[in-house]
Amino acid sequence: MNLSLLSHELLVLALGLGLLLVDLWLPVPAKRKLGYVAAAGVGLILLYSLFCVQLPASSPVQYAFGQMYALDGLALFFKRFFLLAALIVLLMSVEFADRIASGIAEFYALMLFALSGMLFASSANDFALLFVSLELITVTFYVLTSFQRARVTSLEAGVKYLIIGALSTAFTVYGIALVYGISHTLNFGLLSGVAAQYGDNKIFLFGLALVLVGLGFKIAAFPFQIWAPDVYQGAPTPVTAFLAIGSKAAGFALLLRVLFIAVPDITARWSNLLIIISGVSILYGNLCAIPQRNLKRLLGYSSIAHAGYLLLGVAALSAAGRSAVLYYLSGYLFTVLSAFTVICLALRGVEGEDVGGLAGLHRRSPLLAATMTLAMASLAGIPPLAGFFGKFLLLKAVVEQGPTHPGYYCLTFTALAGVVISLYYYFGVVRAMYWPGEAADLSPIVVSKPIRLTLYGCIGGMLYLGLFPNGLLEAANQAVKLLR
Amino acid sequence: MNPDFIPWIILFLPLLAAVVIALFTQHDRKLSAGLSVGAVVAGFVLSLVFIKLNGWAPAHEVSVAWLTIGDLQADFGLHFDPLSLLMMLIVTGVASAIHIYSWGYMSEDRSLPRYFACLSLFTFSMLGIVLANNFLQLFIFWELVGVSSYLLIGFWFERPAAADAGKKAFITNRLGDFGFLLGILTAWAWFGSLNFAEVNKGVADWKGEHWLLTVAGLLIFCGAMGKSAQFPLHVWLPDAMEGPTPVSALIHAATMVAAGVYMLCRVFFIFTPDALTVIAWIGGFTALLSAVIAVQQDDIKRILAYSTLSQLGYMVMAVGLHGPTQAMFHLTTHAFFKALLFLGAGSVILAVHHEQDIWKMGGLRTKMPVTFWTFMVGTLALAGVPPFSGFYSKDGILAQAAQHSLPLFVVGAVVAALTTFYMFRLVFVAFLGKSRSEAAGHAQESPPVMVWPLRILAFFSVVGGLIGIEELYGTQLATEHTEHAVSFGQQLIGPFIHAPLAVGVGLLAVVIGYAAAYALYAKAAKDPLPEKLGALSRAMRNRFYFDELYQATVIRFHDFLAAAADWFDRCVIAGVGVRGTHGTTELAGRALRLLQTGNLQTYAFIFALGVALVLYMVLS
Amino acid sequence: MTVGLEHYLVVSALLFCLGLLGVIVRRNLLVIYMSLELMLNAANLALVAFSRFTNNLDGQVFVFFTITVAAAEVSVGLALIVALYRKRQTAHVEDLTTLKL
Repeated sequence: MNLSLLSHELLVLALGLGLLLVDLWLPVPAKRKLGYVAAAGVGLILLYSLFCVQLPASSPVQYAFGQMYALDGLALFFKRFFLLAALIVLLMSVEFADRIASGIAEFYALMLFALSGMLFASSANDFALLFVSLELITVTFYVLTSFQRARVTSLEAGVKYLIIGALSTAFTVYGIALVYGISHTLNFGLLSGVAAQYGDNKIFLFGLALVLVGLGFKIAAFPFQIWAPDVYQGAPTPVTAFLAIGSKAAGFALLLRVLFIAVPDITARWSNLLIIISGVSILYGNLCAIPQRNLKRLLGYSSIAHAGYLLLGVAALSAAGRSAVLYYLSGYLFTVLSAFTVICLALRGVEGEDVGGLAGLHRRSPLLAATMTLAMASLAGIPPLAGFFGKFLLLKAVVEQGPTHPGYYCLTFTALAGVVISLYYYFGVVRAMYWPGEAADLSPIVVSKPIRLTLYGCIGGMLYLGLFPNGLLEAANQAVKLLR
Repeated sequence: MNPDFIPWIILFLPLLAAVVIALFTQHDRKLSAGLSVGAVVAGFVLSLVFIKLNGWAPAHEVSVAWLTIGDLQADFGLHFDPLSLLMMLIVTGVASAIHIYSWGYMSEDRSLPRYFACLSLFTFSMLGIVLANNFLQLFIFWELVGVSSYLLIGFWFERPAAADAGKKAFITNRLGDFGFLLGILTAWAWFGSLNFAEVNKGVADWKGEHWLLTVAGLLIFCGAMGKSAQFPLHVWLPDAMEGPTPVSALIHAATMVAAGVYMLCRVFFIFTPDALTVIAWIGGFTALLSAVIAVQQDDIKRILAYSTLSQLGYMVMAVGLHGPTQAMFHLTTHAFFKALLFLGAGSVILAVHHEQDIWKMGGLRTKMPVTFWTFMVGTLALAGVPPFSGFYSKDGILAQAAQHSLPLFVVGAVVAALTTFYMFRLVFVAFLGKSRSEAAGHAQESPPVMVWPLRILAFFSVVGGLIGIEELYGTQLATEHTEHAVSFGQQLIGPFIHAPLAVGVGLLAVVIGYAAAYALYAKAAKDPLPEKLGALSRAMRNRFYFDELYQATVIRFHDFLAAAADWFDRCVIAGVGVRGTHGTTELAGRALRLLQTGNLQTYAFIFALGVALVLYMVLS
Repeated sequence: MTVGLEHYLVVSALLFCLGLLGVIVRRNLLVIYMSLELMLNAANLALVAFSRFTNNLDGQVFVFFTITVAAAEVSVGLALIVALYRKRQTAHVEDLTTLKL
């Protein structure tokens, strides 16, 4: 077996373990800086991935572990995506370090372990690896979510995530058992060959649906969204950010693999289910976010809505839809991470992350205010930002499927209505910043150099993806080529 | 050398200025203003150069492939034809005058750099609309205009009224844009392209149901309804007066509101006769309604705002009456004299220390002679007195109406009379007579940087009707008068010859309006109309209660939903406070949120229910 | 009577439903957690039964993974619940409602 296929995962794991080792000898004040080491390491791995890892044209898919692990275009796209996300989240964590009582090195290391889980997830070609990578992510996040043990909300969020997460794991495993029992295989490749003949087997469908439940939990789509607002609110901000982008994207990577590699013939008959889940997620997330005052909770609801938007591309059941999902996720990465970075810095002393805490931000730090404004505009889908173009691609993919099923037109309408509703609360956030109101604290916010660079990068990413979509779109199209 | 690269520079110069100001020169007031003014004046000069090199015709496009998705090829392109070139000239020209004027008007303001950055962004967006060669690009710039107008109207955001006005403008526009977007998507779905030329071809070859095309046309018209403030989306425009006066001038004259009418003319080919009838009536109704409201306003800027609404109604009506040429002609002349009137009003407001009530002015004629005379020119042009520019363009619309629809012709004539009436009411009360307040007594003429733009605009307001603008539009747009005047003398009397009825009625309306205004206001110390008209006057003062009406209907809708929710689930209503102006969506949001009890057992239960739901859908 | 695949599956389904019921109706976090383990083990039973009756070892290998992962999950979970108990002196779910709406 060729271990070099697993180079990303191995390097990240080695980095994480190395961090834990170094932690033993480091004096306490220096530990915070380990985050920069971790970020630099992840950055190097990202560079390595971009410039040294290429799939030979002759064999676009390479397997390891007896076909459990597949390295293909999709996997590579997601691996780079996760590395970039982790890089930004780690830099954010360094800013957050003073709010974590002890064990900051473990905090960084756990992030790296979660990252390795995501890297595995992007390559899963077997239910066993799907399950293990999913759990690697989830269990690490249990710890990360409740890392601020002094805060009751952090603990409570951790316990809630734990119970609902374990519940969804139980459903997933039971589902896998049933799928395995009928088809006698756990491998996606083998399954795709035989799945068509079980199309009417109720037990098989039952099992498959339960697997979807587990993935629906990961991406926080209706009706498995219930945990998201509480956990987003309670978790430490960098963890929330990682949850919002990394964990969600891992869910989508697995969802794409299960739906379009393992059982494409059955997926084709599930358009109704996907349309309903997508539409209701959009409406639920956007409606619930309106009366929200807590910024992190608001982004929790917004993330439910965005799971719905992303599912538009899945529901479209077309190559255009799938590449739109990848495109939208990329835009979402810059958008969401810049929003959370701003929250992390601006709401340092604010109780309950109230939106009002942003008051006067444009005077405290124009950069943060500008970034937040752009992030909100991108989330709301205002041109010329990434969010606009991503939504455009997703809706286009759905409209194109309109002639086959009238439900797609309803879905388009729902999504547009959702966008209009969302304007209200996203602009509420912008207003809270520029509205002078009773800004209690007008002391300038110091933005460290790495974070400054990160924010410039995120702004650049949002604008670039909104204005010059061709490059990434081409990459996304390549990545989804092998999906059916 | 091919001059086609010049418009790219014209388009992007203001954006460059906005970016540079926002990023680097926030603290240097002079440099910021200079950059912004320089960019737009350079744009104006370059426009002249380009038109000199290129000529007005033939129509052509330059574009770069922007993105390709599947079979959709979206270009970023510029379209040159007489329509877009002349608009480009007007936008840069009027914007130049307003930029220069702003330098004087805003010189005391703390946030001057921000102001100029927004102003440049606005100019950029508007130029983008004018030069766009496809729907997608048009829509993007369309939204950018919306955003920059939000920034400018709410420029003095410390004042709640200004912040609210900005929001109102933005949301009302979004409402129209929703229809616009649906229209664009429809056009794309049917014709497979977003390029104007190709959609035009598709419409010509259309073999499907006629009414489908009508619906598509009306959806696109929704966009114009928002931007050009047509009934029932007109409510934002008067409130937009909360912005600085030069911004009002810019929004009202050559840019934002003109975008709607320009768009209608640009995609005129898509409208079926049925759609045009609807457009004409909405335009006519808006014209009449706002002219009536304007009669009883006391705020100088609000009078002008309702006047703009009314004139926009005229233009939209002209489009609906198969007369895009006349609409664009009126748009152009209106750009000159309305910019002039607003800048004149700004000059007055500054002179009387930010007092906007005309009943507290008076006697300004001798103290501010230049402002008075230029304002007078604007008034005469707006009223449609020959040989001022407004006469020719308004007459074109009346002639068009006389030809197509008698009721709309009557509406047009009544509006013309009302226009003269309220404009002379304004002039009599604000400029003539005695000073009615101390501030008005001490008023002084504005500085040269503000007065010169007034003079230049006044010049164009006088001659705008005679320099061949209509003929230029006529070469491109559908026109129903084939004869073209050749000599200056013929141009001067042209309307008298080929549309004597329209001219006669139009002049009669002016005379009636002037006589009424003279009789009532020439020597009035306070407004005599409220006593004579009673309730009607109150309704007019309160703008026929449209704002209140919208408020009331939204709340009514709220109550209805609340009752439905009561029946559905008592606990839904318990958590719902029906609070004032928040949308119905907030209600739904508040109700849905109750699912999130915070209790883990409820969560587990809901999760299990969700599983059951998915299983049911998969297995059934 | 011979015990066939159906019997195992029925038992597994029963265990799973019992576990789910426990998660929904019990108040104590520890009991809820045990119910979750019951659900996982129900799935394990089904996997092993399928594996045994189809002579395919993949299922049993998968069960090893589940057990390992479940062990990790339990250690993290119990640590969390204990930390919560020390902070709040309670392990009842009704008391965990600071995050809501």
